[in-house]
Amino acid sequence: MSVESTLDRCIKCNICVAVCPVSAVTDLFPGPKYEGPQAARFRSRGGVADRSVDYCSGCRVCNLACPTGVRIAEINARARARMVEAGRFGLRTRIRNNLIARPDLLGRLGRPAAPLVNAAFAARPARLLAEWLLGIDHRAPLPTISRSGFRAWVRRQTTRDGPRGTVAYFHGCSTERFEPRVGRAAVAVLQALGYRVLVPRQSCCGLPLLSNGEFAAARRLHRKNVAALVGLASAGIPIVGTSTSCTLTLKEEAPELLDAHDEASRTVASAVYDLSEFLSGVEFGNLKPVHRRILYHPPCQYRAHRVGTPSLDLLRRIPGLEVVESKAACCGVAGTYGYKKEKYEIAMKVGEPLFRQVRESGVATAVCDSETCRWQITHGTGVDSIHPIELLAEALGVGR
Amino acid sequence: MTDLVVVGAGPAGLTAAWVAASRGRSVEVLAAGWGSLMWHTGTVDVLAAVPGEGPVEVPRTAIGRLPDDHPYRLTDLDRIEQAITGFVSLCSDSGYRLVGSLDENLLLPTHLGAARPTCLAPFTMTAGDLRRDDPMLLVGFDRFLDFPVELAAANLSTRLPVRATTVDLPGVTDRRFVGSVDLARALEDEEVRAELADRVGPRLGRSRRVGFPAVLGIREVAAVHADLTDRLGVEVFEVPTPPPSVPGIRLQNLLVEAVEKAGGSIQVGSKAVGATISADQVEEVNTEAAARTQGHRADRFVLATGGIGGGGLVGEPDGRLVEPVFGLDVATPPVVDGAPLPGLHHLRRVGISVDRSLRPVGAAENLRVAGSALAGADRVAERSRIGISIVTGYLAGEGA
Repeated sequence: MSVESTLDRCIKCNICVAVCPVSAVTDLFPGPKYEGPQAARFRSRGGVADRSVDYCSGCRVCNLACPTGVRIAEINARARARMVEAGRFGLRTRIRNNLIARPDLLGRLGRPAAPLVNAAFAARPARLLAEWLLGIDHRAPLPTISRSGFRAWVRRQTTRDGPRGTVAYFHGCSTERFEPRVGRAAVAVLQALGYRVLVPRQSCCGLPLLSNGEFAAARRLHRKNVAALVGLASAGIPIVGTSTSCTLTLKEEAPELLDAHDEASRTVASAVYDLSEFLSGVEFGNLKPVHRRILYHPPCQYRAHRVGTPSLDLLRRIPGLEVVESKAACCGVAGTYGYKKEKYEIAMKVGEPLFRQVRESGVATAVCDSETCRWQITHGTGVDSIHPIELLAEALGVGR
Repeated sequence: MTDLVVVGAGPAGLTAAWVAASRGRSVEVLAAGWGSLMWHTGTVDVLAAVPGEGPVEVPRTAIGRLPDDHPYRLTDLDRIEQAITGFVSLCSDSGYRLVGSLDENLLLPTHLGAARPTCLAPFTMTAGDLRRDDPMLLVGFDRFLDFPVELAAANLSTRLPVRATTVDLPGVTDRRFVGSVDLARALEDEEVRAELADRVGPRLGRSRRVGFPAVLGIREVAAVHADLTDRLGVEVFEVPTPPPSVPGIRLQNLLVEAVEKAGGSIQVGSKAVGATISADQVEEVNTEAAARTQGHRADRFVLATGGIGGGGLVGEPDGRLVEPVFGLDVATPPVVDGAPLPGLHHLRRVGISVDRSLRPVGAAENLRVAGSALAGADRVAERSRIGISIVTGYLAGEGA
C-alpha cells in the first residue's frame, strides 16, 4: 500500500494540525492536514506541490498523533521529491541541499585538513560566506570534523569473541566523521556484554537526501547498504545503530519513500535495531553508579520507531543517575532543516520549549540519541550533549 | 512485569490508566494515535435522555430507568458517583474546576446556537447556561470559521436576548490560518487580552454575559478567564468549537499528565494489531512498530479502543463487525439478505458484552473492556458517551 493511499483515512479531525510544532510557530507551513492528505488529493492527478510543503520538517509528530494512520510526513516527503524532479527548486538551493545532505562527503573532504577547516568554519567570515553563497545559516550548529575516524579506530582493534552472539554495528556518517567517540562507546558496551561486533562496509543511510527530496541519490545509497547488509541480516545477525535516524531509515523510511519493498530490503529492515531497543531485552550484570543529573530528550526520529523509549528505560537502570525527562515535542533542527537560512529561525522557535526546559532544569548534560539534535540542544542552551550509550559505557566501566 | 496494559488513550483508557497508576500499579498505555478527547467538547455528558422517554433533568434518578444491559447498569449508582467525583477531583486538583453534579443537567449553547444538555462543564462555560434568560453577547473572531456568531445568535434568539459581534486582533486574526489552538495560545498573552477587552467592551450594551469560542487558554485557563472577566466587568463564558477542541485538549493534557505523574507511561503511534492468549489469559498485546511488531506483556489488560468511530470495532465487507485486537465477539445488528437492516441507529448499540466486572463474556480472565467499545448504549441519543467512558474506565482501573 503506497503512502498516498493512506490519505483516504483522513477524517479531518485536525489533531495533526494541533500538534505540529512547525505550524505552531510559522505561517509558512499551514499544517499537516492541508499539506498532506488534503493537498495530495489535488496532486493525485499529477500536480506538483505548493512550495510550502518544503517547510515540513519531517519530525513525524503528526504521524504518531493521527488516529487513523495517515502517513502525513511521508506524503509530504514524496511531494517534495516530485518538486525536486519537476525543477521547482533553484540551482543554488539544490547545490546547498545536496551539500548538507551528504555529511559523509563533507566529512571526507574536510578530514585531511580538519583542524584548519574546523577553525575556519568556527569563524564568522567563512560562515557568512557560506550563508551568502549557499544559504547555510551562519548561526546553525555545524559539527567539528574529526581528524581520525571511527572506522580507522575499528581497524586498529582486534576482533573479540562473543559468547553472547554476534551483532553488526551501523555507525552512520556522524559517528564516522564527527563523533567517533559514540561508536567507540557502542562497541565497548557491546563487547563488555559479550557480543562479537562486526563493522560491515556501509554507506550513508541517505536520510538527509530523502528529507531534501533527492530520491535518486538516496536510492543509490540504500541499494548499496542493502547489498552490504543483506548477507548478515539473512544469517540472523542483528544490525544495531546508535543514530536513530539511520536505523529508522533502514527500517522504514527508505523502503516506504522509495517503494523499496523487495525481499532484500525487507530482510535488512527487519534485522535493524536501535541499540537501546536491542539492549532492552539484554541482562546486565551490576552497573556501577553514575552520579550525574541529566536531561534525556527522545528525538522525533526515535518516536517514529514506535518502540517506546528504550533509551530512557536503559538510563533508568543506571544507579545514581538522576534523569529529567524532556516533555518537548521537537528540538527543531530536524536533520538538515535547521541549517538552512530560510528555516533556521523556525527551527529555533520550535526548539525553544526544549531549550527552556533544559535551562530551567539546571542540568549540566543533555542526552539524546540523534546527532543533529545533540548539536542543536547544545547550540540552544550551551549545555553539553551526549549519547545515552556513553553513560551506559561509564556504568559498565568501559567509558573513556 | 507490568501490572496493567491499557489499549487506547481516549477518556476511558486514560481514566483507567490514571486510576490504576494512582493505586500503585505499573501501567503502560498503548495508542494508535491521539483522538476522541481532542475532538470532544470538554464537558462530561452523563445522561441527557433515556431512549423512549423524554429529556433527563436529573441524571441520578434517570440512570435506573435505562435497560438492564446498559453499561451504567453494570454497577451501582454510588460507584458511578464515585467515578464522577473522582474525575472532578482530579480536574480541580489540576486547577481546572468542573461544575455540576448528577442532580441536574446544565443547558449550554453550541457554536451553531443549539442548546446542549450536559452534566459537568468547566467553570469557563457555565455562565452561558441557557436556563438563564439574561442577555448575552456572542463574540466571534475575524477569519475564525468555527464560531459563526451571527448564525448562533439568530438560533438562540428564540430563547433569550442575544447579540453577536466579530472582532479582529492584529497579529492574531491576520495570520494566514486562524485556528482554535492558535487563538487559545494567543489569549495566554496579557497584551492580546487587553486588546480584546478594548474591542469588546464598547459593544457590551445591556449584555450581562459575553461568550467567546472556547479558546480561553490551553494551560493558563483560570488566569485567562479571570483576567477577561476582570477587564470586561461582566461574566465571561466560552462555547466549544469543532475540532481541534481546546477544552478537549485541556482534558487530554490533564489526564495524560495525571497518568505520567502517577508513574504510568503512554506510547502513542503504536497501534495494537493482535494479542497472544493462552489458557484463558492474555499474555501479551502486539503493537505496530517500524519494521516489526512489539510485544507488551502484563498481568492484566484493558481494552479501551472505542467503537466504530474510534476504530475499536471494524466493519468487514460482509457486514460483520469485528474487534481486531483480542478477537472478542461483537453483538451485531441483524443482517437480512446480506444487507444490514435499514436504520443505522442500530449500529450505535453494538459493541462488546461484559459482566459486572467488565470482563467480556466468554473471554480471557485478565481482560476488561471500558468505554465506547461496550455494547448496550445509544450514546448519541442518550448523550452519554464520555460519561460511560469515564465511569467504566474508572471501574476498570480500580479492578486492575
